[in-house]
Amino acid sequence: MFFKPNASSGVPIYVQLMEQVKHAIETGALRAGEQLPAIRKVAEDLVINPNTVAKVYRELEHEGVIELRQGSGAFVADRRRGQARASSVIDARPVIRNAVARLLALGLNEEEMRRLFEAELTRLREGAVTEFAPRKR
Amino acid sequence: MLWYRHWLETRWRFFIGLALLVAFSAMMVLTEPLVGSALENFQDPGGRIGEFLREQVETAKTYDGYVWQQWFSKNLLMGWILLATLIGVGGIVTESSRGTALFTLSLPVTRRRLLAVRAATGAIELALLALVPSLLIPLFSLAIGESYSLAKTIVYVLLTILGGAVFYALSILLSTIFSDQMKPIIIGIAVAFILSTVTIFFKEFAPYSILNVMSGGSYFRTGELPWLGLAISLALAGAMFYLSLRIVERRDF
Amino acid sequence: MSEPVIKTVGLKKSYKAVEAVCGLDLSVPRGSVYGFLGRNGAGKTTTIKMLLGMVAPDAGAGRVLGYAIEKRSDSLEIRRRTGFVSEDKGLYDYMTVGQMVEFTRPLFPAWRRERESQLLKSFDLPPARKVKQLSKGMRTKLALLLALARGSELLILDEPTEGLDPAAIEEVLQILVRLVAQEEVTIFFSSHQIAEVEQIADHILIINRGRAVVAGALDDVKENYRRINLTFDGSAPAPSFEIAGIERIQKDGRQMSLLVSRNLDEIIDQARALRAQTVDVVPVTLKEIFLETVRSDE
Repeated sequence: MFFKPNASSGVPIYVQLMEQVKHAIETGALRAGEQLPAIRKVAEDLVINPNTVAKVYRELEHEGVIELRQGSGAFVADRRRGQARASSVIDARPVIRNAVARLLALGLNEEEMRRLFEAELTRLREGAVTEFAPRKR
Repeated sequence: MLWYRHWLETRWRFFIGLALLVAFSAMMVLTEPLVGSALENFQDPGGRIGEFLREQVETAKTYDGYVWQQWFSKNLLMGWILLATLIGVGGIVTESSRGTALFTLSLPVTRRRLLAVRAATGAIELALLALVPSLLIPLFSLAIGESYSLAKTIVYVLLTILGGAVFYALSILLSTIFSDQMKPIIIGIAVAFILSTVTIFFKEFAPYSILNVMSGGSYFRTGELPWLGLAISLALAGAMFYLSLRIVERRDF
Repeated sequence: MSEPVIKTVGLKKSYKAVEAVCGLDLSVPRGSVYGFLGRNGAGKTTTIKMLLGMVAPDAGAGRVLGYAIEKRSDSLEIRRRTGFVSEDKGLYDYMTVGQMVEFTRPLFPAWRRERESQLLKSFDLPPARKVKQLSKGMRTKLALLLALARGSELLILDEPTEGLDPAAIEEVLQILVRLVAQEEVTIFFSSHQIAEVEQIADHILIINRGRAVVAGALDDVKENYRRINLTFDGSAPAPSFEIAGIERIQKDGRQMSLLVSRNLDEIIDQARALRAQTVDVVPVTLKEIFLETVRSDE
């Protein structure tokens, strides 16, 4: 059900998997109330550390994307709670699509775009309060 | 299983050694009748060698003397020392050159126990190597119409084993120092060779030699057991074994 | 927070004039998969040997599963509870596969028979074949079987997938992952293969010339390490940063590249003060971190 994450990417595996789950919910591949596979199964199928999978589920629960029910497993959270998140992500898509198109027109390639994006996010982090989970632990 | 493993490691040495010794002992007994005439026609070359040979001939004229001279002083003596040297090599220091030492050392067994089991297994093999071919002598003697005392056989065998313990302990000690098998073997054989050559040419030392203890020279001549020699041999063997334990315990692998 | 399964403080070992391990502090959490990375001769195997009592440390102390590594009687207890695979995977070549199992099994009271038969089957090891007739890959699998079937709470594996083909590597990693998911087991393994460390490890330590240069939770390392690329109008100025956290600085004409492990924001501020034309912050892969931190010592 999950795609094999890229272990060598600069993006941690747990972040990649979290994105996969969120993406699946947005596109409707995962619906509210549906059960996610057991941690053990995910770890064995993808051949990754079970602690990483546990972290994914924990963080997703923390963000309200899924619910962990004692003894039963992990379930996609109720649509109403996840709705706000999902819809802002859906709204964001055309914005991104637009920006990428315009940068392409300016002659930038994928790598350059990515670098600019990272730089901009870094700049953001410096000053303003963000909605993201705090990086400094 | 440690015992079984060491058995697997040494069984070829044991079987070949046993086969050879049994062959020698059988041959020695069964060819005895032919020796008699050769002894009658002995020609003295004179000098020191002549003196030595004359003694040998005299001893061999009796059956008891023949067996003592050919078997307990020569074939068994040298054969057993060689086997003691060969069986004493092995162990984890040797294993390190073969790449299996780390597996053995990762087991929940103390290095002491590893060495002790190895030494004990080898000791049992060496005891059998001395006993079995020797016990054939009273048996085969009947075939040529002679008789040989079983009790005496056992005494001589015990003298060989207990007196020869030094050679075994030396081999074990050397095997904890050198990681290749050849050096301990060469040194062990060299020591035995030097000892035997010295006692041939310097007969004054002969009674004090360990080889004399092992072959039971005093027992043969006067019925007296070489208690002092045995005690020294066992003490030396014990000291060398203790040293081996310390060396193995301290070594970095 | 429970006691770390492996903990060393200032571990040192020298061979003649060479310092193989110089002051290593290790802390392996219970239930973790701990990757121990380093170049050949960096001190990985020496460290492992010290943990298992094969080599006596010159200085420092260590505890494994609560037992002291320097005490003989304690070391015995460590080995009773640890599954080990050595780098050379040496096994008694005069024994058959079956005999190796028969030999090892009685020494470990927690031995798992079902795991033994399962692994014999999935590794396809013929019980009657002599070890000397096994290929390197098969020998590795046998060594792994003998370590995994012990039912120990700690596994110490020195290059466990070396010599295996990619399919076999994945098989081994899967078995390890399944083990961690099923029960409370800690896996401490050394490897050259950064990809496989990234795949299954949750903690790493990079050792170089006997010292730890990077240590911590893998996710934290990936999130904290960043590369800052600066381009200047003229040639890049001489670097003079006073903040800790810069692992390596590279200059090339008008460009400067910094590998940063912490204090990212302060370093970015200082970098901006140098009046760079562009300041780019990008993530770094573990391979880059490894290559740069084992070279910067030289």
